[in-house]
Amino acid sequence: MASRSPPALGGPLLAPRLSPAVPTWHPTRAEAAPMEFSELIKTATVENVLLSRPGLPAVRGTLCITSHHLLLSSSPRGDLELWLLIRNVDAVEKRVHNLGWYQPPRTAGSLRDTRVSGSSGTITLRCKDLKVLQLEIPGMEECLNIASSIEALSSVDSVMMMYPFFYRPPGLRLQQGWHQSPLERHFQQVASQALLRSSQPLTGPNRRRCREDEKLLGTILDEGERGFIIDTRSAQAAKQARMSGGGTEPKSSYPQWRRLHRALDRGRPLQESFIRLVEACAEQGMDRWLGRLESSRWLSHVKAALSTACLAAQCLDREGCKVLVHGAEGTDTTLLVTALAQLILDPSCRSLEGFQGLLEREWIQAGHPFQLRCARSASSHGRGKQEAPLFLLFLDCVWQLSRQFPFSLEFGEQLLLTLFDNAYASSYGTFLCNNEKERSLCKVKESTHSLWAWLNQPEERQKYLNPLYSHNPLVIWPSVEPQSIQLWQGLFLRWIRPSQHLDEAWAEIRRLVEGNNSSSKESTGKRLSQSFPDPTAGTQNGR
Amino acid sequence: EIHIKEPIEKEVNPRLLPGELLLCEASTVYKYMQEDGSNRGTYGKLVCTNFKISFLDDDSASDDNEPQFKNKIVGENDITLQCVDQIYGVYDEKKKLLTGQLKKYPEKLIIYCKDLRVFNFCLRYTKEEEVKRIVSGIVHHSQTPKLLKRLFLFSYASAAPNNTDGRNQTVMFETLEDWRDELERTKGNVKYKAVTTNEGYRVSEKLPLYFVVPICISEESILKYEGRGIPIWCWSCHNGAALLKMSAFPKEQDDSTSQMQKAFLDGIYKTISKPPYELLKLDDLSSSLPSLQDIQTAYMRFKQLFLIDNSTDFWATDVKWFSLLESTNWLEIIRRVLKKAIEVAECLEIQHTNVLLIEESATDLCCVISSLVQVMMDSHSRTKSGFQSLIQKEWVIGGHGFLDRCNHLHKSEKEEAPVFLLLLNCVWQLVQQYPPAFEFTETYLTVLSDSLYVPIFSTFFFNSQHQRDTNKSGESIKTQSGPFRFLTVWDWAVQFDPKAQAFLNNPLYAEKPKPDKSQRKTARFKHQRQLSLPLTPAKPSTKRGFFREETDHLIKNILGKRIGKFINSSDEAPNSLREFYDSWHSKPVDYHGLLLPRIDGPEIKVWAQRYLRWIPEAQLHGGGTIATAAKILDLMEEVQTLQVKMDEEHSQAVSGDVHSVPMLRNSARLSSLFPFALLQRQSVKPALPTSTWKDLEDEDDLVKRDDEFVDLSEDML
Repeated sequence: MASRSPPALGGPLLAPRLSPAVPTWHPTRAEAAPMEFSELIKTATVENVLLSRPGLPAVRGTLCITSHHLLLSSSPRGDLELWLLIRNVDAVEKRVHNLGWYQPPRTAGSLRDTRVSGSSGTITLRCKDLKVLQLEIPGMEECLNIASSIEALSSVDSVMMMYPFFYRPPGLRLQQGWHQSPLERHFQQVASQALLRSSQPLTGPNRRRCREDEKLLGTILDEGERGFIIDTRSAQAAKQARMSGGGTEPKSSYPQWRRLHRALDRGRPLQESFIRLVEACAEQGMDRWLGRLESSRWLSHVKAALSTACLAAQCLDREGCKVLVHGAEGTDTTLLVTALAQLILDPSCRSLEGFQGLLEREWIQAGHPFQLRCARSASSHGRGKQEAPLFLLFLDCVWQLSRQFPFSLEFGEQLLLTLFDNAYASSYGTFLCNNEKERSLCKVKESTHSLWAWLNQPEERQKYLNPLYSHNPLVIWPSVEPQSIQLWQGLFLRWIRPSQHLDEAWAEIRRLVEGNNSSSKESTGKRLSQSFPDPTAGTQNGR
Repeated sequence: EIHIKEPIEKEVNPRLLPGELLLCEASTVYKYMQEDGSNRGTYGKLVCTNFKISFLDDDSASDDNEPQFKNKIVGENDITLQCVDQIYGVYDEKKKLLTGQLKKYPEKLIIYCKDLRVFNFCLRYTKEEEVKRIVSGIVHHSQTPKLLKRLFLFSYASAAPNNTDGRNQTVMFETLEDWRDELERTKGNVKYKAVTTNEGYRVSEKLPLYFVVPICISEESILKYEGRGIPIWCWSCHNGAALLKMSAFPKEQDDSTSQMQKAFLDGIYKTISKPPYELLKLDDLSSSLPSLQDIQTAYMRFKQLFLIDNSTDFWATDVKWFSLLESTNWLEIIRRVLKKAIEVAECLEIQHTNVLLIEESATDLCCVISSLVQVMMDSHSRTKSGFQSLIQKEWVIGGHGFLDRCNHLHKSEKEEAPVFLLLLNCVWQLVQQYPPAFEFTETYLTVLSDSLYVPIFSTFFFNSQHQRDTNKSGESIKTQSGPFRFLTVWDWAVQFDPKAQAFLNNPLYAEKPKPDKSQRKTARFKHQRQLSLPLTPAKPSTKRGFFREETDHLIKNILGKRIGKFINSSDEAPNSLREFYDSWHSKPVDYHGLLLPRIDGPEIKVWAQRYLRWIPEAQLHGGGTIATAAKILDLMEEVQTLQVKMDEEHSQAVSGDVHSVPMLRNSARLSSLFPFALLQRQSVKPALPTSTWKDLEDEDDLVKRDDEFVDLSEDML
């Protein structure tokens, strides 16, 4: 996100472009490089850096590192070519070429190549949004300095040091977009009367019972009523959880409830699946593609998540039963299932506002640990144990729904991509921290801007709307058979395969809708004619 | 186990076409609904005619809910005899393939169709006599060898009223004029000529009456080996480079014969690669592409994934879907064919080199590659009439052996290969990658593939023009009726009413801008496209625009220089291909210019509409691409209506003719399998696998077991 908005907003202020005087870049505190940051930046600017990206012509220019951004402005024209939030960097790979006595290659820029130290280096930046950038930097020392500066800046742990605490976009007020709503503690009632979620009951080993929990679950159901408990762990895993104080609801103690186990992978298996898929996508030519796609198992995860959500929805809608969903902590796969089930059942969740509400309620306030889960993306081999792309899996499932029901969701793919980008690296505070308590300790709501406030600005909002949307009051039952689950190319191949012709098709559809709207405006005078902005504007930044 | 519904004794009669005869019938046949593996279904009458097998629902009269997209010739419960793929009988729960004479009669009949429908009939309630008659009738008429003249095509043509000429601008390539027009259209007439040498089929019965060869080829050469070894023109590129095909000599045992043939070929190559002709690249498709046998094997395996008896089987393939798909090799074959077409396009477009495709008969893979290259390079082939003309040119008149390849007469399975389907599958990849570039939709391709099995059109029921012409005379059946007048499949009104035909046209087609209005713009576009292509420095640029009059001086310059040399396909540098591919894809797409398919792994997809359309599990209620299409059709219609209103206000003239058909007002409730799903029969239900509910029962057991386990441990304490 950050790689998008600042150039648009701060573009005119970039006059002294090639000056290393960092503070003039941006009029916010953001780039003022407090002491903590300036220690990390070993080399702030390097000239004559060659930037290459797949599918795009290479650009030569001046590289500049600020406390939160990596910038490249092309020389001699001075256009800003790259504005990358350093937080977005997932992995830095460096390679140094010692050219010894060889003459520097006679390329176009060889005359300006004054730094004939005979060596250069290449830094490959693998970003959390899956784009890959390559920087060819003259001078071995500069290259190593830049690489270590990026590494250091991208792994700053302290939340309060992150960019959202410095970012002050014009036109937005700080308090805007932060909803305050009370939360219930153990259970939260959502959507209809009957879908509930929780963490596991703390029964523990030796057939101990938790009377309070039994009572609580008992009060939910009326006399003679039956409910379903969907446990997102396997029966085996649930049983094992007793050893560490968790467990399941034994049938004898919860006579009105029927327990169903739907094992959904989380944690490491999911993260590895994500990594394998991204690797398969990056493979040139993609031989044996289907085999690799299958063995990544990503689509199986999508399918499993969707069918479990369907199961919950089916119990609610078809059986008329109350449904309780839980796994272990109730903050990962549980949220995946409840959020998807609501999207399937409840048309109000499918509007832009409704979806934001759903995310706010079912993911953010429900305590999905974004900071832990999204600390690293697909290039982080064997780093942390906590990373897992559950939120991405959710977005993928939503994308499947949007593809299967092309006009039942008010928002389009662009929103899902933006959410993915922001969950991993953002200028806004919305996805910071792991739960409400941490957010309040860090004063996130007081000191950062909300992503929703920014998204909901009238002009911005237009970019995320689905031109084909029409309210669909029905339940949208997705097809979960493997033939219907598709690879989300818009995300996984976003930087590999340009989607220009698809964008054009969408532009044409927009144009049609727009033409139609404005012509019916003539006749009805009711609808508003909008000029639709380029749907790809924004994300294409850095390309 | 069956929901017994009193069979209604009611006379239901099959709707017969002209010339169609009822051969046998059986009543009280129970047809299972395919979807859920339960035993739900309907009673009715099963009939077999000389055209089709048909199930007549006893309740059919109550069906007032007419489907919006209906084939007028083949109904939802009709299977043309040629559409039957395999028939199985079920004896005591065991499936057995039925082919010829039967000793025992099955209690269930499963019919697998070539359009991938599966019909399950229960014969347990049918009189034994009728079972015998209907089963042996169906097996005999659909599975045993047949004489050409016994095809329904002939009875229909002799009995049907004088048919209208509905070719709608499709060029049939039956006359010399048609070929000359095509030469002129592609500006190929400087170097190529249409010849009449084959009049009376003097040269070969496999070649069309008229065809086009390089000007320098003599009549004697054409006649020498029945047209073998002669380059036959397919198409000329805007820069003058041409695509040619040639039927190769079969492998000869006799040395002297093969020596002579080699000398003949060398002579031909020398002639056509002598100045002013330029480089010629040979491509022997029999070695550079999978064999017909490979293609047939791959397709057999592939289609098996979609011929689903019941839902349980379907979900069983669930886990291994992608590896199953990959192991069929079908998508890989599509990829290789597309890649070959890109290679050829690169030669023509960038290297300005003529390409000669070689194959033993030049009527199989040659047709696939030459058609694909034209679809990619000639935007005319992406219009409906242009595509139809292309199929006429390369396939129907070009002499593709439809009769043998589809095994319509059940003569020999060895000859069977889905070559034409392969082309449609490849074109579909392009259609889904570049929807605005095509005037037709995927539904058009799907119904075209279905038409392969509808024997009222002559289009796909002969091996060659010669075979059609010699069987046209009709003397053996009805002398008085004169020559048969066959229908062509391009007359879509025969199968679909105008409302249904709307689904064949792409509302998002980016029509070519009219030259008078935006001439400047188009010109610039063309220019851009040409500039965007990398020039290959190795090739003399003097050859550009060789055949244009303005470059006459260039011809003079290089005349005398010996540039004539032919390259074999193995000589090519693979890098130039990659460069061409990458460079094209990095530029904006001109929908009226060159179109290259993306062939990376994820881009080659399963043609879901054709292969999944009968599988209810793949159905989305109120979703799928059809929802978008319907919505867009609605929008276009609204725009049109408004346009009409505005025009009316301007001219004050009321044109009553323009009416808008409210097509799919309720698109939110449409099934994604539309136009092929039978919506009126299905309740809106969650698309969850039945296995989920089966598991659910298991879970119940598991929960109980769980409790028992706990109790046990307590006892032990």
